[in-house]
Amino acid sequence: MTVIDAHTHLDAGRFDPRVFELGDRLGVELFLCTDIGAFVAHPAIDEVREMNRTLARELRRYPDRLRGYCYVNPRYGAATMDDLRRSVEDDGMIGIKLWIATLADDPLCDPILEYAAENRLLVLAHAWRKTVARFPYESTADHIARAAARHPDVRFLMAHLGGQPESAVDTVQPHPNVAVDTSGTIIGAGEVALAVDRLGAERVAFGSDLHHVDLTETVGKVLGARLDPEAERLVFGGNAERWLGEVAR
Amino acid sequence: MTSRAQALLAGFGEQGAIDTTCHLGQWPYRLTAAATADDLRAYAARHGLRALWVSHLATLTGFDTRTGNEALRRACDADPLFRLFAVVDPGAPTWRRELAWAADAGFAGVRLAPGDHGTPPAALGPVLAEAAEHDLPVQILFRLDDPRVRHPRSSARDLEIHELADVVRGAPVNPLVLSGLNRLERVELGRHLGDAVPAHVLLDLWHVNGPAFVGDTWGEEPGRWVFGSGFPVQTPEATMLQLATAALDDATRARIAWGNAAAIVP
Repeated sequence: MTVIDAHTHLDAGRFDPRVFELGDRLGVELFLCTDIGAFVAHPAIDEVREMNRTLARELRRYPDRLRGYCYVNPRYGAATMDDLRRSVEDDGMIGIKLWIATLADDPLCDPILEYAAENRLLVLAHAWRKTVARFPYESTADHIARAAARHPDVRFLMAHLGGQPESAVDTVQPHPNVAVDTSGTIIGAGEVALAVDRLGAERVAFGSDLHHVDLTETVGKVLGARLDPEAERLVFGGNAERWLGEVAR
Repeated sequence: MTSRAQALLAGFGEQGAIDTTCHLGQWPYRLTAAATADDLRAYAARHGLRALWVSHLATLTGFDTRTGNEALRRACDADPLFRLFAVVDPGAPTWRRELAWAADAGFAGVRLAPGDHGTPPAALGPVLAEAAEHDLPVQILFRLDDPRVRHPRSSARDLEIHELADVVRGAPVNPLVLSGLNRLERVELGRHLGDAVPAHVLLDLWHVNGPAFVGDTWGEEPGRWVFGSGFPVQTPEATMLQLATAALDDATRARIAWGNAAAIVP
């Protein structure tokens, strides 16, 4: 089984090759990656295209270590769809990154999510119920749940355990097409174990949120959950490997 | 699969680290985030820890600090694993008595929690001065959790970093450990102090978890850092694995894992 980090970003247009060396030390072999530039929340379509081109270059550079999520700004309609199709069909990207350009359940996302369903793409969707410092158009688990209900054939990967795991996990629990990733700087005790307990290990995936988060911290957070071996196998890559195997080629 | 990561984590256990940021009791916002003295002992045994700095979580939310401080003493005083820290609330009219009592009772140090106690920054200075008179090191729990995920009904409010810098600027030359700052806040603190943070001011690691390879930078200030996990409020293995894998020479890793802390509280 391949250990897979299901949530990473490029850093200033590149994937730091030192991460591969660290991944070798830790046993992490494959990284699923997106490029959101310098955290551009509401990028113009030209900026999005350039980010995806940059990511495609890195995917070609490290074909054994990287897979790509196409970043989308749903507000650009047909132009976004053209860029998405090119990124998937020409550059081999395996998923879509929804960040904070719109809420995840905005109808503007529907064509994107329909395309994801047709191609069995993995949709990495940012979500965080924040007590302070929430971004405009920052989705919470409620938005992911509504999008998932409307698009039951789309496989969503809700990032950061939804930010506040108890409420987020409970919100998406009725939607079997939503899994969660463990990424981010938050290391609150018991959070990964709680997600596995309530969703089942087959709906939790390891993610780091590299490069602005330390890979070792995020691996340690999952080890600290003290999962049973089968659950740990699924979280650290078994699930992501299965999802990647379903992506239409 | 993850055997390599597990082996690295096991390697941390061979350091004989000192965890400077542990808590006894119940974290009010997550039922599973709790530790009895036995839980703390088991935690220490699991990771080869030689000592734990510990205070009682009840001191942060109760009507007084004495109840929690005494409960800590009853639960942990007889075990040499523990270094007992008394929590003092500078807003309580009895804080001087509490501090004197802690010194007489043999506590190893004092913890302040301005975010949880709602302490104005200016009120911290007199406590720092009096603790120094008693030769007690002080640990400021700048925060116990990430404010973005703090419970909406928590009244805890973090100090501003410039306010913390004012506290540091006026502090006596006495060990002062700051807990819960992230990397950017450490940088901001330094800027407010003209990049001359006094040598007696140290920081713990549990919230210094980004960006990638941040641990490699800890060697630039080997005397600045102590291992502190936030257990049981935070997941300690996250910080342990960071320290175990950081590109540090053995001597620096040992200083951060236990040496710097042991120099403050033997």
